[in-house]
Amino acid sequence: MSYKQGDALPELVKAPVSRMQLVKYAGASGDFNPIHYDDEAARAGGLEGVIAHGMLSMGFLGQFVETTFGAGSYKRLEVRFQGMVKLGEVITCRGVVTDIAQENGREYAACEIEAVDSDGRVVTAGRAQAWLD
Amino acid sequence: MSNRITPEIRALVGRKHGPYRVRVEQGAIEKFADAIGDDNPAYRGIDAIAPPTFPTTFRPGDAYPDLPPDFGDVGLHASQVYEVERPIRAGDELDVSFTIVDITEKSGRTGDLVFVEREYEFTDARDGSRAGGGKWVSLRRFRN
Repeated sequence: MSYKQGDALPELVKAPVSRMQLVKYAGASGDFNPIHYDDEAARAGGLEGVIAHGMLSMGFLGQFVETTFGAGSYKRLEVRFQGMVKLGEVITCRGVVTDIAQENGREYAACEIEAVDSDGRVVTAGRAQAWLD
Repeated sequence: MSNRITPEIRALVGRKHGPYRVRVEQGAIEKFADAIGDDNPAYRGIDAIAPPTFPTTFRPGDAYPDLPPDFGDVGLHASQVYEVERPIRAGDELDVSFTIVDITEKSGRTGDLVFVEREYEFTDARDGSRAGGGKWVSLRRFRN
């Protein structure tokens, strides 16, 4: 599959975010902040309940980039965490190619990417670069 | 605007942590991909490469320069950058370091926000070449 400027990338729709997933992500990532698995701790911090790790949504976007362009293709990922992800949310990753550029004779795609929740609200957004060869 | 950034807090800017060495393990990569719900076979097995955000597992330990633990009501993640010169792989040994490059303050809708911006470097321990790096911006929120 070859991409050119303006192409939309095939969407990646994730399974609903579960507390089990957040516990697994806490263990795998080493981020044991209790706001990601303990409702009481989350409420003490002014949240309504547990929220997903921002890095999990960035992980979804990483999966999206390497599913689209191939494993090992990622060059750079840059995101802002704009909204919180609650339990049960279905996150969809989508993006568009903004440029095809070269570095050291290798071609890469520059993309705008975002993760949106079940209501279509952007939770995490930014830019990605992925090698095309 | 209130002034949350005291001279003691300001003095954190420029502080470097590391380098500390990490060994990238096959099992850790697989568990990380499992947790994301990513079944890509490239992230499994003895020759596994790491998913893009795997460097988040390169935890700095407890004694790294940071805002005091009781500073603000809740700590959140504002933004993140990762970039690599080549895929991170099972078996890699990397020297990781980061530097606090800025601390800024904003008044938000729900209260004051203080941002800490850190820049990372990942160096291949075998030959000293740059493997990658990134930027980590965290925030502490004060409720009104």
